[in-house]
Amino acid sequence: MMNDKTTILVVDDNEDLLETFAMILKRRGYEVQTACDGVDAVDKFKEQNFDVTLMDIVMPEMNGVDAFKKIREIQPEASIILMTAYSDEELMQTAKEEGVQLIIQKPIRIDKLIEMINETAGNQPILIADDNTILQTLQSRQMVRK
Amino acid sequence: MSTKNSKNDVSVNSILQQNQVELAQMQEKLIRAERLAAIGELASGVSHELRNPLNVIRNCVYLLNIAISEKDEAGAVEALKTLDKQVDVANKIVTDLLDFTRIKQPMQTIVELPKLIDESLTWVTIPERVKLNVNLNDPMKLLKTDPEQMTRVFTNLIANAVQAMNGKGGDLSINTNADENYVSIVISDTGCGIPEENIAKIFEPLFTTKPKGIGLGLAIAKRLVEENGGKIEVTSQVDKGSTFTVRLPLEQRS
Repeated sequence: MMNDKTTILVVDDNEDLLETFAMILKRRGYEVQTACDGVDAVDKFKEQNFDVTLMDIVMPEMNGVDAFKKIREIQPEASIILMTAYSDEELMQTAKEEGVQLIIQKPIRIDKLIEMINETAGNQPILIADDNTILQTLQSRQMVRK
Repeated sequence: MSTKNSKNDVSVNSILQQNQVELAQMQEKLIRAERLAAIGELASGVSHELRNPLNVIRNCVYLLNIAISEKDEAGAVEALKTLDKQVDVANKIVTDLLDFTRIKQPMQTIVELPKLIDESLTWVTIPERVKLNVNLNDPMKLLKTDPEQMTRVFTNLIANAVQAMNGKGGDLSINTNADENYVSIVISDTGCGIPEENIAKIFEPLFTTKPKGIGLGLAIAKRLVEENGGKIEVTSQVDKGSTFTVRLPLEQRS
């Protein structure tokens, strides 16, 4: 069973979100670690690899896209799910250029998240976002998940 | 000849009137476009701010379902506590908006300054890496102000100071000094500071340099201070820190 083995790093500067995501994922049988920002996440990757990373996109110190790039330097095949409650088209564009291919809206449904984690482990990075304009654009390009 | 001149005058007047109408319509369009842009910016900021607590709420509901199905009372209580906190988070966003848009008359009472500062400090968690120095000169001076509004102002300034030192730590100083008519409350940090080009904008609504936030905190603070007959000023140097000074009128009987 993949759930028994999958290691997940959750990265968010919102403590409550970090804690509740971690609790849920642990309950679902994953091995979970947490990081409070991009710098912390990159440091964690220097110590060990993770099967999936669930990371906020807008954070102080280092944003999710920059952290994504740094993590990919350390672990080129890293599967990273980026999520945000904010819309920053420039950042989204950079994310796409860096290899992020799918988008899903936040606040995210847990079952959908679990499904994506299982699909994503070892596969494509996903951008979880909440901007309707970007969503519509990407939906039309069949790059989006809700 | 006079008839011709008169006809020309009518024609010129008519053109002028038409131009004025067109100008007024154009101005109205511009104002409407500006309003719509401002509403769009605000709606975007608010919706994004609300989505974080909404996501926590969704997570809590999930955890609560598990706790109920497993008859895990402690787990359920924990999830409910976090849910309750998210209501406060979301409510603060809505309150900020309302406070900014509606003019609320200050409910002024006679207030002791140290109590205001103490109350404000209870609302902010000061990390261990931040060294707090409170130095209240003339602590017996009394203010005539709205204590709730001023607590809000100081809480905002203290929280901003802490955030400016996020990660690195530093010194947070709160000093007060009084003259005959006013007391100055000076809140200083040794944080990241504010770039010169942003100094003039930081009290404007919807302006923010933080990765998260609507950008109403300092705009509300300025409005509340002014509503209470005071002034707020800032000086700052990048990488050295910022100093916010609030000057409030003293209660003259003190």
